[in-house]
Amino acid sequence: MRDLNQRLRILLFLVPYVVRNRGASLAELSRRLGMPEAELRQEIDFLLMIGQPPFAPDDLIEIYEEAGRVYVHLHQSFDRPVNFTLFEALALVCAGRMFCTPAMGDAAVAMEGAISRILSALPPEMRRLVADLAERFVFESGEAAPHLSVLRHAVEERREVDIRHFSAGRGEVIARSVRPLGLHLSRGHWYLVAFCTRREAVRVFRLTRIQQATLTDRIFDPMGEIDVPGTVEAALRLPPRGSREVVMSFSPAVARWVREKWGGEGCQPEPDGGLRLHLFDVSDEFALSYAASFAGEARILSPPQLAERLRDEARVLAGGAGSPAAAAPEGGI
Amino acid sequence: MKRAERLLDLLALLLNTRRPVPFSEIREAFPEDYGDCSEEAALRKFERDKADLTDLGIPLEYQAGDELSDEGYLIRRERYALPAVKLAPEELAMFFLAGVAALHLEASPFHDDLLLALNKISWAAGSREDAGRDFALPRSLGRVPQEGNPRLQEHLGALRRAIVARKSVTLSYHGFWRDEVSQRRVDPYGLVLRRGAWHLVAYCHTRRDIRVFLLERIRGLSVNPLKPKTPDFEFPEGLKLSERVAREPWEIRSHPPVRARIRFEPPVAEAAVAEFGHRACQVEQDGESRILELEVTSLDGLVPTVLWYRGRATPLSPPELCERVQAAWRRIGEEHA
Repeated sequence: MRDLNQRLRILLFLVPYVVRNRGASLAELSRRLGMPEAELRQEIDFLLMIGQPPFAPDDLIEIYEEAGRVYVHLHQSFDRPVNFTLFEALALVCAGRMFCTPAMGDAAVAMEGAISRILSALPPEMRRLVADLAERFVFESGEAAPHLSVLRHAVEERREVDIRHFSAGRGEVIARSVRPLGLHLSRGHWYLVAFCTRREAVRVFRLTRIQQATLTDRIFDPMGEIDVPGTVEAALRLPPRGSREVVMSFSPAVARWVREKWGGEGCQPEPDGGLRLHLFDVSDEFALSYAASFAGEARILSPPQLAERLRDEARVLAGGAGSPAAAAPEGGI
Repeated sequence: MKRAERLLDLLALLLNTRRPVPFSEIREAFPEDYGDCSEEAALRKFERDKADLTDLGIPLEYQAGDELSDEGYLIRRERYALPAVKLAPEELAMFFLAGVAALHLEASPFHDDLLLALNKISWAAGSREDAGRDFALPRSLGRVPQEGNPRLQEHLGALRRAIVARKSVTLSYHGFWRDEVSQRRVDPYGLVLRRGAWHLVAYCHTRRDIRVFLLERIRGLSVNPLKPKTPDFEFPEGLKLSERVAREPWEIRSHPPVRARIRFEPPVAEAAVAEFGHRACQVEQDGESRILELEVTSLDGLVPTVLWYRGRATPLSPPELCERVQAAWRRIGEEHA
């Protein structure tokens, strides 16, 4: 539920935004303000009643929608947004600081500059408070984001990028041309959403797995709207129950970890306190690595070929003999 | 008149004049709202409205009268309006990249504030054409409400208030190891978002030490309701919240630190450097391979990571690590025999 405060803050932004951007579409406003179009229409009607005493027609805000576009004729001095509130400024600084880690390289330096520009626009007492509080709300982006700058330019300028990408599922490096559509951070990892010209489909790539990214001069046509965060989240979700099933069993010592990780999905308790896990359509590489990481507390039950593969790898690696290359699994992760 | 309408009308009245407006005039302008009762009751109502406007970030001042001007209420436009924030297009794009990611978290202490703040910097950058790039990326700026996690959102909201006001909190906390829920009284120092999970760093009165609590495991929470305006504790000087939260499993403080060296082979070498190279003391190149030297306080925490990479990661030192990894492979082999 939207409370009064949040509602009024949105309205106090809506009017000056439309003053500056005549004919902004309802769809765009809805996207910007996180408000459904139907609710926006009601708010536009509501704003028609707002103005200054004595509330003659010329004293009221004149705002209207025509063919899905919004216009303001009389703004009644609501032509600039309200200054940042303490928490708006704080939110901006905290979110911006996600970039300010050594792992982010040049992006960190640029962001520090941008944050100091926001801070210097604040009244001095608020500036101090924001700087203090920003130490108490720490947003981290986690790992490095290689090629972030190249990829961001590619998204903006709609230029194809040639990448060399390590596919964890296939255990190999693949070269391809992609049309970058957007970037997104999820659970501490950065992802690129791009149309892969080889597969002719939209694909999600983790930035740390992109070994090389070269901006080309090939401009691509706009691809229509794409929900970048939604595409990433969908790609990260467990694959739907497909035809190929991997079954593993876990000892009681690690059963609770496993159940917590998968949120109970595909988990079946065993009489000894252990756990049986059913995974569908995961790659062999993932299944092998996942089972191996439990150091013997996990066993692959099926398919049998996968269990055999892990057994063979284990024999080589337990021996300690041979070079690491010789020990590497076929196609290895 | 409804409250929302009255507040906006009041604001319009004060924005459209440069002189202080005496309360008597405000009462006349809003006869239904402030005129219909005693002056004292009207003033109380007006004070509540004033507080609401202040919460919106509106600097409503009272100016005492003198020979030159009347007494009354005043909004100074230069303090009211968003100042010119000169961000380069590059910087605006970076704020949006970070901001949109933060807005799509399943819960955040600042979701609504961040949404407006991003809109404001985009407005300050100019018209849509000038600032057009900011929205090149997301289909919607914020998450759709039903995608959120309401309980987590509620806890973060309460903790935000407690952290800012420095009030103690009582947690019902589900400890993972003991697998039971216990009551803890804590002084909340701050929140850390790491790998998508929210952590509360707090002084725990039960354990008499600074502890880290995973928000996901908080079952219930109540903020000390007594003396809301008086802080219960001080924020310790020099405390760095992010240093309190364990980063990687091998950085859990269970033993004195040792250096571990691991060789990563292609094709995972580059990815390993990108994923945790910044936590390494040293990264060496050896042909196509990379050797990462890590500071480790829990070797047991490192073993699963080495195993994950299977033949593509080889522990080089200390010998204890090599032995544990080998022993683990022996167990895996026996388990699948």
